[in-house]
Amino acid sequence: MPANKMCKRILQRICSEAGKRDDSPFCREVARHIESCRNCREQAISLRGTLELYWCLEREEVPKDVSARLARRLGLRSRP
Amino acid sequence: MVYNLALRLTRDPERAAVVLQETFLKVFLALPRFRSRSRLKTWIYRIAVNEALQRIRRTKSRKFVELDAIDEQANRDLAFAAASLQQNPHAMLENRELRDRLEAAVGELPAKHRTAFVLVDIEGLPLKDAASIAGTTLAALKTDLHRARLFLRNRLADYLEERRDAS
Repeated sequence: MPANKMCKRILQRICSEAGKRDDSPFCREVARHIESCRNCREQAISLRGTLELYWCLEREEVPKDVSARLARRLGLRSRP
Repeated sequence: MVYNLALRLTRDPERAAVVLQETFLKVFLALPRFRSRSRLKTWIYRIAVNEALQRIRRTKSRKFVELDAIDEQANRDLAFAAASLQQNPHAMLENRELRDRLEAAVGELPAKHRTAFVLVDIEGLPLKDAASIAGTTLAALKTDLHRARLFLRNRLADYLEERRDAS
């Protein structure tokens, strides 16, 4: 497959399956292509890196006043 | 789970609090009728997403994503971004400005792209469950996710390049 056409398919694949392991023939072809194509390797690394940053973002705790309001609406006793 | 989902979708703590409240009120009222056709968690997510989307639509952002530009931008030279992102993400996130930019970039996504991204990449739901919760097909969800990820990556690359230029 010509490199530019392959790169487009690879990018779609990287975007939709980032972070997933897959032993399908196409995925093995993707892995082989990434080894030899600098552009796709950078696309893969930067997408993976972006997702890792988002995965590392802290989750917000529910503010105490919000929990208390919710408990009141639901007729529950809020935790101290 | 519901509060964080709502916060990421609405980008507003007050609205997230309302979504949380409305979601649990609906869950409480409908729970006696709940049949385990779908898992409880998926069902609660669906209610929360609907509540959040209603609020996003009411205050539709004036910002928009130039979708056609995303794929073109993807062909840019990402060597610097790739090299920067190979660092420890926890160490990178000590930078408050970066965290704010990451959050803000999610806010720039159109609602359906944001929903796909938050459900799959933030909440870690399987694609099939996320499509069901978002009320879309698996193929459409994958496209939304693809676009969201490319957009966010490009926004991050912009930021990294700005920082490089400034230093």
